[in-house]
Amino acid sequence: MSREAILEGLRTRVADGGAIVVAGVGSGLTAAGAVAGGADLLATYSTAIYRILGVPTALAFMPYDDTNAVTLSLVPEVVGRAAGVPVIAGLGAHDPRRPIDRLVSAALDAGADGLTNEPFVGIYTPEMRADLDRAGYGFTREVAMLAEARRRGMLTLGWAFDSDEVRILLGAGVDVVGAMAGITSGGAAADVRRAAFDGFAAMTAAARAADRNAIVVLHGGPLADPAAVAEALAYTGADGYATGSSAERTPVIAAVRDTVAAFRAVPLRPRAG
Amino acid sequence: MRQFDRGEIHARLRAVMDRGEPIVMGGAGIGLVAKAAERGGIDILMAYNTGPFRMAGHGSLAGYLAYGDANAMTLELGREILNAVDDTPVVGGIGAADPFRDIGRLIGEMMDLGFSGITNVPTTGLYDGKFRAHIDATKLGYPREIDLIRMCRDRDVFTVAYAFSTDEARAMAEAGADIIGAHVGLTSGGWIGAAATLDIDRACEATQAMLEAARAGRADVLVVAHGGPFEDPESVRSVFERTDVVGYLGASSIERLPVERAVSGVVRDFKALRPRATRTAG
Repeated sequence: MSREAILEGLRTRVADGGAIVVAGVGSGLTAAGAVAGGADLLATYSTAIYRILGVPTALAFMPYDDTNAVTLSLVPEVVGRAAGVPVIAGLGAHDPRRPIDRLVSAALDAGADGLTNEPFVGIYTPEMRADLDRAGYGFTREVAMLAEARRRGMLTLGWAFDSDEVRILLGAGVDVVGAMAGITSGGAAADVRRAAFDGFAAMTAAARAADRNAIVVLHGGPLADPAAVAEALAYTGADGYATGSSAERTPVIAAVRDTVAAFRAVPLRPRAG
Repeated sequence: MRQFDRGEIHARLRAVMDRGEPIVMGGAGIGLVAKAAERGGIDILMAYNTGPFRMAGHGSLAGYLAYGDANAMTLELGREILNAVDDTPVVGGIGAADPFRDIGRLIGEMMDLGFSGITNVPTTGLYDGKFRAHIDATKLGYPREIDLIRMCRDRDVFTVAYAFSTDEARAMAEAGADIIGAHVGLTSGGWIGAAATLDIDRACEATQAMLEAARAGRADVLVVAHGGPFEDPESVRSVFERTDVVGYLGASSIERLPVERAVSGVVRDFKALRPRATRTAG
């Protein structure tokens, strides 16, 4: 689907008063589930794949796998179950062995309609990010990858950890800003929750100041269920929410657990003698 | 290639120290560097996944992002390095957080290949802040590296443990590490080194503090300096004078920085020549 058509669909959704839902999926099966639930966009990236494998998602930020190979191999599976819903691939722009233009080509070849900067270096501390930037693997390279994807007609979702990053992403032509509050933790203490909400609000405001029509989705921190997302959207004025563990690991585990338990509760016919 | 047992390595290190020399250990990300380091008299070679990234022109930190299977890279590097040297113990890195391998079996595989010891690289000690708290909470963190060192000690496998704090230095000494590399941060210098490091005074203080903590954990542990501003013989001279370390472990300083300088220098020298054929052109 063309970038323009996708954006038009998102704008219509917002104009109709509905929150945009970007569903993060790590398998064809959960992609199909997300589509059936009405997801506006699908996003597939390595942390989603790891949570489906049942291994810690921090692996997307540690050196035990080739995260881009993992994601690129899953994109066709997700596209095959997307039933026309646009698919965004999350790629690590800092890959020392894959230049940015090849990453973008690979995402297009795999059938992705869009690109996002995940894994991102925003997960690390400022000191480590400074060292990464100096070695050429920082946020700057994430922005360059998204700009290249935009140039080649892909929809771009840019993840930001603060207002400065929001402005840089919009300056590079990113279509949808993702305001990120870090790893989803759910029921956080009230002050932590308030800080995350204020962070979301600041990033949303920064986006709107840079571009009145900017589309902003939220993710992470206290946003683990629909009630928290409703509160955050009301507080910030953002346009939607990107699901992660909240619409994949958590419901999958609960559904499988409860179903197996229900089967196990089925009694046998009493044995004779 | 020669494989050394733990006792043999200690006997060699004892002899080095008895001669009043420092123990010098160095990372090698390609066979050529291993061979050159051996000719220079290196006491222990270190092989781990950051080496090939360094020698491919990337920063060591590339070995801490998710763009490769660190333990597979080290096994591959072992095949290259082990056969490039004749009489030097080679210590291989194990990333203890590997979710796809059993660490006990991996130690066996590394020793079967011909490594003479094990170290905790890639180490989660290089991550900090919120991300570090998160990986510790999901049991991918430094405690697994302490378990790795203990497991090696139980099998009488020689170990070098990188530690980043006094608590970690002590824990590693208690777990049985033969050598503690007191890590004071990513090495500075050159084209892609760390942007900001401790100054020499503070790096020496941090090194000595880790050394004292390690010795409190086990009196006979050997402690060497590593990282941060200790990037060349001159800076290492200060840590030898101001702390009780018995040696130095260099990775970027032993391979990346000298190769950057040497190759760019010699190319510049070639370029400075003026061929007769073009001398009068223009």
